Amino acid sequence: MKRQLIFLSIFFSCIFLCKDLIAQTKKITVTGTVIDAVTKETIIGANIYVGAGDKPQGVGSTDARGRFSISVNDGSLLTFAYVSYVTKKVQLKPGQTTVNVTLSEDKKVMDEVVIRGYQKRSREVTTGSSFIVTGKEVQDAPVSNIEQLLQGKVAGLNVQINTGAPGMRGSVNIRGLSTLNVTGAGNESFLQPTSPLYVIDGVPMDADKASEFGFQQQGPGVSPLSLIPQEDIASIEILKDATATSLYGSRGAYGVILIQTIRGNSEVPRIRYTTNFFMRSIPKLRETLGGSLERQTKLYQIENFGRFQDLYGISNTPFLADSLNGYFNNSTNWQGVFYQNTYNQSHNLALDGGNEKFNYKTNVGYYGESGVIKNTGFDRYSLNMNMEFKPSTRLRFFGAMFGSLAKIQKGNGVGLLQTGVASNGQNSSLLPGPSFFQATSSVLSSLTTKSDAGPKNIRANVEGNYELFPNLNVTVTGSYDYNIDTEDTFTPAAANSQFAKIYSYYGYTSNLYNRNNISYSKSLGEGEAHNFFVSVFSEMYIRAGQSSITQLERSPNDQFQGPLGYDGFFSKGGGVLESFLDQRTASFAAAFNYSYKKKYILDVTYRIDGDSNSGSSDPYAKNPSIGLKWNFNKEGIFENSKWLTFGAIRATAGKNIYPNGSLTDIYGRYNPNSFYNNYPRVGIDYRQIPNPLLKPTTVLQYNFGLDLGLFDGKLDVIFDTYFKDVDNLLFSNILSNTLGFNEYKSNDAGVANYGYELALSSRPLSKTSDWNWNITVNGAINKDVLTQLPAEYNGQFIKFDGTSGLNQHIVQRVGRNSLSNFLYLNQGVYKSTADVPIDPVTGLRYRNNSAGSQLNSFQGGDPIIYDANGDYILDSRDMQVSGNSQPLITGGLSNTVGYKNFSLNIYASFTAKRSVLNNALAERLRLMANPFGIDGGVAGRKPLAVVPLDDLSMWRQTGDNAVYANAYDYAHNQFTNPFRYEQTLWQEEGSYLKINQITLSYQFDKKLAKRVGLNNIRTFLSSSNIATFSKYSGPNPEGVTALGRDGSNGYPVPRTYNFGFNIEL
Amino acid sequence: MQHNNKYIAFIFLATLVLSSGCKKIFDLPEEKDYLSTKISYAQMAYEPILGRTTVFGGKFNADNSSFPMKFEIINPRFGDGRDADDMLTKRDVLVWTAEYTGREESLAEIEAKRKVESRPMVELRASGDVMVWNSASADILTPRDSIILPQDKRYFDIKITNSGGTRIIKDISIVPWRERPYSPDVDLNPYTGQPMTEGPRSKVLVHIFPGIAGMVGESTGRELKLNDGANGVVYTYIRRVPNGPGNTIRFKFLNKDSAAINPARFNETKWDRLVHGFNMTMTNEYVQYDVAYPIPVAAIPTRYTSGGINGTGERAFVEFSFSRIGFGGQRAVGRIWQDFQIFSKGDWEIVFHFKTVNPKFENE
Repeated sequence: MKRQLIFLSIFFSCIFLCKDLIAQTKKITVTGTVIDAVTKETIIGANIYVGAGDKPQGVGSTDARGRFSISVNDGSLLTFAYVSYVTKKVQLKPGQTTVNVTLSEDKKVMDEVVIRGYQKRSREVTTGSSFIVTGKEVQDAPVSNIEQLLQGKVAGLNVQINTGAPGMRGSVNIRGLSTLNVTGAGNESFLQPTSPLYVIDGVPMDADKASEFGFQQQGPGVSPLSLIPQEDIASIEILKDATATSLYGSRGAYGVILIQTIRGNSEVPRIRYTTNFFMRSIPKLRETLGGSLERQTKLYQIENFGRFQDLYGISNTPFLADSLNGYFNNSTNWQGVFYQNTYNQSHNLALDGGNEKFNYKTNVGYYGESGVIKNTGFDRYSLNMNMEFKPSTRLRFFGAMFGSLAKIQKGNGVGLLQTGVASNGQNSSLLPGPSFFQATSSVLSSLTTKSDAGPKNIRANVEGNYELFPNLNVTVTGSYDYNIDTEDTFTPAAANSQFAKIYSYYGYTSNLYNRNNISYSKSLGEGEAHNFFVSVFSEMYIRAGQSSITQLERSPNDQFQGPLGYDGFFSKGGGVLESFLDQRTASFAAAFNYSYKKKYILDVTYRIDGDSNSGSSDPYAKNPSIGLKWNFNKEGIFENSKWLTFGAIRATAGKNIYPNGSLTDIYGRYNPNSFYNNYPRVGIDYRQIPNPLLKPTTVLQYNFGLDLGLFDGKLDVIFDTYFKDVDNLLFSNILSNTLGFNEYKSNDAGVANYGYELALSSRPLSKTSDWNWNITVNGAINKDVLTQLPAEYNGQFIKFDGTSGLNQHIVQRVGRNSLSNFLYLNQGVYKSTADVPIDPVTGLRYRNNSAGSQLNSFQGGDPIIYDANGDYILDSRDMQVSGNSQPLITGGLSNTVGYKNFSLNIYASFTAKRSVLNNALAERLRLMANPFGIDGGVAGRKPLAVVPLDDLSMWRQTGDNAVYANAYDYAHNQFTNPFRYEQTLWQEEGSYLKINQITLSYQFDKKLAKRVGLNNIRTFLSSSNIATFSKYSGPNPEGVTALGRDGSNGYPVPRTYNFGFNIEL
Repeated sequence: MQHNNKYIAFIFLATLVLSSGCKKIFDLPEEKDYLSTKISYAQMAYEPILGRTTVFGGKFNADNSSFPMKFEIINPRFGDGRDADDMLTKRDVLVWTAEYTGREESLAEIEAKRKVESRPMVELRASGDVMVWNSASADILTPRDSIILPQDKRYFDIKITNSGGTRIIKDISIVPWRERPYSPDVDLNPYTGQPMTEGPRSKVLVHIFPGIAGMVGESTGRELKLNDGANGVVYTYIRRVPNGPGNTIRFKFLNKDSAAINPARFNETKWDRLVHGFNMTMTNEYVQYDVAYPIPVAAIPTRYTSGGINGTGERAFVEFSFSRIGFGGQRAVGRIWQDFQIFSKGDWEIVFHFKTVNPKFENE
């Protein structure tokens, strides 16, 4: 007691007397580290104050390694504060010189540490627009591709999970449309993906490379992103505006996503094991009428709507007439033949350990998924390691290895499409299903095609960092990424018209990357008010790739399973594919950052990018950017504000590029053209004239943002508005047929996007409560406008679909949204024949196709299709521009409620204002067009299923006010084609709200865990793709292509039920 | 606190300014209709036959320009620059208001489906197609001769407008043919309107032939032929009947002496389905109906048109038949038929002339 009194009196005398006697108290240097309580990562830029009371005095902050060294009076009260973390006070014991502080996160949006241009920086002093998703948010629901879990989490990041094919990707776009490049036709028209650039632990990676050739791509088509186990992800940051992405310039035009994998960070080695057991269940399939009901429906159609001759046709068509024949007396569920529920599992073992000087991490993962369509699936094996070594405070090494191997089964589908399954699923239920005695080759080809495909990827990177002088850092990074894609597909004879078929694919891509960086930071002035940061770096890519195929159309027998060559006629060869890639990119960049008291911040970057995919005449693009930020909460008037925790205004502008040309675009293609006078000739390919002036796609972007933190974390708001001008888009100009060449690639197209993004996050409950409640909502509006087309098109270009049979053309018109449909306008259904307009001149009723036949006349029950040119004939002249295949509004919401060890998360995403072409419904109605199953002129050769149509507003009798024409009247419909694909009847609003995921998790008590020798046990139940709310009449408004086509040959997205647990040793 | 409010006001103002109206700030292009530079007419010279309503459909190639567009005839002129806007003179024509079905039960019912409108003789439809009404007549549009002098040709330009701009298609010409009021019209010289001869200097007239089957020559006892001298020659004459009420058609048969054959002898003829006419009157010389002109009134297949309801409906079809007991006691049906069109309203007769041999109506 006495001693305490003495201590106290000393202490108080210090406080009261020392003001004037500072020289007499002992100054000591206190060092230590500030780390995050959860992630165990060091905290950079945490502020340290000394003294008690209202006005503690700032004495410094932690450095880039989270360490600090401050000179204070012995026994001081230290306060550690870091924005968005709970402030912690530490009372120094006399003589204590080291303090290690753990700060726990005070969940708020603002002020994470972010990485800009490969440099760690406090978010407070960066001007760009970005958003961070923590690794925790992408666990708990097993997926083959983590992109899926970003859906609806970031305002302005539009993720559409439009395929359920295991291992495949949906579409990802940051801030709208950046391309006009559409290949293919009909349901298979494919919008060139413009995925953001992924930078994984500082190494850039191309997510699109597997999908360069659309749906019908060659090879396994697995994105490199699908090779990253989700358990290994520490954080994902999405960079949106030009300033944020400026330093990733040479390919950052579509936005940048930074992925940090987990680093070793524990003195005691830790072992963490995560496993998931999950079931993928068949989504709702098309309803069909089975057995007798099917036959009755067909007979009803023929008897009521058939022409006179058709009545005779019944007795000549056995499957209709011979109902007692066992062959035609079935009720087969054809869709059931192909679909299955599957049970899958994933395992992930992570090992990490180390300290400041040396740390390491190893992650071993397995993910296996069988597709809901039989004979499809995806398996991934990965091994991922990194280590960091700091022999001294000035030298640091970081090395990482990433190896993975995946196996994908695609059935007989190609990539994203399962055309075989789709067409077989339409078979008549009257036919016998596959059995021991009976099989159809198309079923066999779906179920017995053997494919052995998948990528093998290895990636290594090394980074060295040396501090030459204080504040002057030199960093050298190098990485090499090598990917092999192989596919061997064997189709047995029984599945391919009695001849076995072999297809083999081999391809590789490699990416050598180097970056050298010098950076210098300096603080000047009183209280380090002026902070400068300068960095200069060079960057270089060497990318190469080549793929080739071999095909043997007919192999001698089922045992001959290699494409070894056997018959010159049936060996189709294949050779090197057009995906050949040989690209060099070199960039030089400089960045300058200035902040005044962290209040006013200026970011300037400048970058020169040269790449071999730009025209040889000027391969260099100059890309500047500027950003300004005002942290207005640091202004005097807000200093003591209770309601404003932080507030900032950002304004940025900048330019980025993406090289889009290919070698053939610039240099042309030269083919060996046999011999002339015994000399071999090599001549240019006349399909395309080379364009040496080709430029990379340029994105000029302006962004204005507002960040607000209100009521101490109760509400955080991030608002952004932007204008993004995408210029120099690659466009294939079709040349006049007198010119010798067919087309050339120009840069004369442009698109502008502008929009608004809002993200709100709230933790309404008190921090001390046992209850924990967190709501986040975000949404983005993006409008795109086509600003430019090559001059000769005079403002409109139509990409005609002449091959798919759907005739759903795509039109691009300047001043309008960039991708519209070119369709007939459907305005309802004629109530009666008297409502059909009459040509006053000729007296003929409005007709389909040509005035030639009275049978083509529309009648009651036919669709009212707008006769745009007023000639009372419906033909291609009447097509109109309509719709917008790109969504206008996207976003998501998440709600997490926790009570003690329980946590429940519900997360949803939405997309609104988008035109979807419901070709699935069109196909459903068209199934009724052929009750005789006529194929190639023979009745009964291809009987199709019959679908219930009771749920549709369909015209049945004169006077009916309906939406759909009478589908039963097949005999008349062949003349008026009321269910033609190319009409706005199918163009529906594709808005939806989807419950992506519900997760319930329970963290076992630490004591309990310890008792079984573990550190931590957590289990979770989750379900994904739970429900979609939409007015859309098709199966799934999201399961459509990037161009908004809902074909029935896509791969449906299954619902998943998952049980998983993490344990930590 | 006031100071504080100022700041907030500034922030909101800045937000508002920057977030509103990107379209204006960044000068984005407005959407306009598309008007292709390659729009054209597949046919630049139109040669309508006067007296017939002709639509030259599908000739305008919009090259996917956006409909609706506005089409105007401008600058009508002769080849030498004289004004020729008299061809745009408005005249009364009949336009359809409801669909003709072929099941109308009176002339009034047919007429109720048409109404009179005043339209220019040469007009452009909403689709850009050129059309010439049957009101176009030789008094204004001088029909062509065998030689066309450039100064006599009528030209006009077409001005096409939508919100994407304006284009003018120049030098569309109209060269009308003399009126041929009926079809088949092989017996009319298209240049002169006089009876057609086999050649410029020939005196041999060209005739219309009907279709015949199953008839036997009265005097020959052999199958009656259409154009085989002693075995039979049958002509069809389509000609006006003077002094009629203006809405009749009459069918007549002449024997080799040019005397009328009693139509009642064609005893198997379906007189009520012969033409879409009313008030049939049958005399010993002819059978006559009240009809609506033109015949057929519209190109709609009916029971009165060639090919019936599965035909194209462009031509009317009449068939007369009779039966007799033929050689060997079997019943022989003799038929004579004719496809035809009559464009000009009036009183017409169709005469079948058995020129050399009369058909045999009597039993064997």
